[in-house]
Amino acid sequence: MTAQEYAFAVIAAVGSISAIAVVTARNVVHAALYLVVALLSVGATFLLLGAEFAGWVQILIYVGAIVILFLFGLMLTKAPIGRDTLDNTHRWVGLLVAAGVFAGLAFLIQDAFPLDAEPFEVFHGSTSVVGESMFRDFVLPFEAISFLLLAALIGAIVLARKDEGN
Amino acid sequence: MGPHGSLVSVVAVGLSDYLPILLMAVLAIVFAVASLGASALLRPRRPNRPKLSAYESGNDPVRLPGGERFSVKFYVVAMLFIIFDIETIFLFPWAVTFRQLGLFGLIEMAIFIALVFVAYVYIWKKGGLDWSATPPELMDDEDSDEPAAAGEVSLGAR
Amino acid sequence: MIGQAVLPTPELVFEPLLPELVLVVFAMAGLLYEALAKRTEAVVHLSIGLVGVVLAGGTSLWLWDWDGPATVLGDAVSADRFAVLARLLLLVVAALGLLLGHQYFARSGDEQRGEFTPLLLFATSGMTLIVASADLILTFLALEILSLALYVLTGLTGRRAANEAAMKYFLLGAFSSAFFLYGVAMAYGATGTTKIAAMALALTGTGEAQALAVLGFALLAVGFAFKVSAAPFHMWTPDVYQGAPTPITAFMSAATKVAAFGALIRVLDVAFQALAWDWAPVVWGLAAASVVIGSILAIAQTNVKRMLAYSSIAHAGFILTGLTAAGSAGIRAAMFYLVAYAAMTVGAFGTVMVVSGRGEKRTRIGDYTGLARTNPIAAALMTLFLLSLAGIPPTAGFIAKVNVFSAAIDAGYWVLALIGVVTSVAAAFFYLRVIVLMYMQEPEPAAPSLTEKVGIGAENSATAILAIPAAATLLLGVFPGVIVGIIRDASVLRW
Repeated sequence: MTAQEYAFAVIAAVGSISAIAVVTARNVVHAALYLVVALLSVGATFLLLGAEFAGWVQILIYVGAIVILFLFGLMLTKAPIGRDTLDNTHRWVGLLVAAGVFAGLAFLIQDAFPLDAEPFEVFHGSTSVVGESMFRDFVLPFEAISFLLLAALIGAIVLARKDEGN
Repeated sequence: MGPHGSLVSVVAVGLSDYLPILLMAVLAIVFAVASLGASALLRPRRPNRPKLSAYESGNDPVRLPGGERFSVKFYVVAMLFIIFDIETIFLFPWAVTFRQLGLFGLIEMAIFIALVFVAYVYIWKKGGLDWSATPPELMDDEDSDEPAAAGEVSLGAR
Repeated sequence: MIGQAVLPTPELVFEPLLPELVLVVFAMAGLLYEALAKRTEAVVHLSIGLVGVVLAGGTSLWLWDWDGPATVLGDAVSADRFAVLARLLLLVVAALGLLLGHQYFARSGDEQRGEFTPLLLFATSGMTLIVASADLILTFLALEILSLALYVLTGLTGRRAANEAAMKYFLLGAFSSAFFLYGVAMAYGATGTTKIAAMALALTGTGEAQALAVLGFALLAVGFAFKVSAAPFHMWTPDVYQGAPTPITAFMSAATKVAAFGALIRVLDVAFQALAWDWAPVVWGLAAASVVIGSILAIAQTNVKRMLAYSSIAHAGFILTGLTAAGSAGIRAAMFYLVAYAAMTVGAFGTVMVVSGRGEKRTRIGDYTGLARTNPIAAALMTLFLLSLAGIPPTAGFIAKVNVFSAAIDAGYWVLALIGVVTSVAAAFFYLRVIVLMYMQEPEPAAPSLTEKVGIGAENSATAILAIPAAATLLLGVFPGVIVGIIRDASVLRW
């Protein structure tokens, strides 16, 4: 095994374990913190695959912002923060579905990209390569993102207003 | 090297830059574990109540009374933060390539910024950025007289 | 990096995007007016919205004779007549939604929501973009733009029911968007592109089973099925249609279907056309489940908005029935159905809005008892729209159903057509029940007549708006030929 494969094994193990911990943690704040680790390992996997920009975006946006919003959400709502509040009766159904999805995806992906196939030309997703592609090949989607962000902002403000109808 | 040799060597080109970061991370973990472990082994153990309480910058750590929530203003600020954060992310690839992109890239980014700027004007005028005074449209449910109405914020999931 | 040559500017042909650009500009104008004006007038908002929609419609019409490249802006936008027709339909629905919403907010006693017009234009621009999108990345972004705007519109009044509906719609919608995006990723993995045209080329001629592409399609289908509210991804529909303010329900029940079906047609009949044998059973199953579940559950409803929501699920199934026929035969049937459905659903929800009165108090089916006495015009309109929804001649709904069933039979899916016919007959029961209540029974003595409640002026102008969908429903039922030629021209996708 090469250094990259060792690194991948470690990252994948850490990511999987913390992902399982997210759904099994009894305390919802702990779950959010495990999510940080899981998302960090996804970012690290992107880096390993050569997708530098995607890796750092994953870390900056998800770890730096989304999980923070999760914690904000916990404080904003009346949801009890503590033990034994996350159990629900559907967990076995959820486990079954998750296992099924995993098995299906694992089969399909190894079927589509078998191990003995020709290795890929790896595209090194450095920031400048991503930039050239984004600003020349994806002009319209890029501007559409801006419009989407605008809609999200307006929506956030409109919905945060006091409800006056009642 | 096995059949994946070429795959790995291509990846490795970009990854060698991360070796110092990896070393730094390992060093930080080792230092943190070593110093905490050493202090746990060496320190005297005489607990009392103030020592065991959580440190909150000198304030008494207080628990929020049951069921009370933070103001919805925190949520608005967090939302604004995320959206402007995402917008900023798109500036990085542009900044790295803007010489190659030339005027075209500048115009693209100007349109991008202009659209979000409209949202910024809207939020500003609607009082989304005011913190101290009660903004005209955003409510401050902490001071509300009616506890029942205070539970009715739109995104307050029940 | 310093001193590197400036790359040549990509070729930009932006005319096929003009309708969206117009909508975006007017949405911004409305937003800035709401933010900057000291006192906002509802009439100004309405005018901004209507002028924007009419101008966007004008530019769309001009694109009918576009003879430039088939796809522009880096193969992201299609410039074909299919996009033009879908856009025009969406813009007409948007105009009706603006007018109905203006009436609703003027009389409902709610504070005037200045964001209504900009948000509706946001949603419309996402919808017109998605029917023209030739790149799955752009399709996803347009889907998100229209969805975000619709979530907020649903919760706009801040009533408890509206908030709950918005929350449900948002949670389930975000979930379905994730499926959609995963589908895009899988399709990219299978073909190495997200452009719809390039995807079609990559999938053509590959003889072996394309498991990954089929999985990608399945995930995309989940996302689309949610948006068009096809069973078994319909759970949100009754709650959201009931909880949302009625004019917004009218707008989204028609426009979301047109938009999502427009995008689905491009995915089915261009991107995955080589896999038609794989996707046809999926569409078949969704169609059968939707007509059966929608029709049966509608019978048990006691709320009119909820009943119409289940009916909308059934109609999604009928449109899918037409789409089991690959190529332009299926597109023709589906397009005609969409035009007819848009007219009758906007009309039906609009009439519900007129009858429900302030604060949406009268939305139970029982409230329609004896409506023919208290408000004969509303009763007549409701009858027309319900007959059309039931598919009874001489209304648009009848011709539309004949079209989709014959398309399915021609494609060899006569079992599906049979299921459709049987459920149509069963569904006629709950539509006719409302008509019987309106005409055959005396009003409850306590029920105040509508004119006392909202004032004659408000009622008349709302009813005048409904003359447009009513005329369309009748015209398409009696002279379907007026639009058949247009739809034939629009049923060829350029790529």
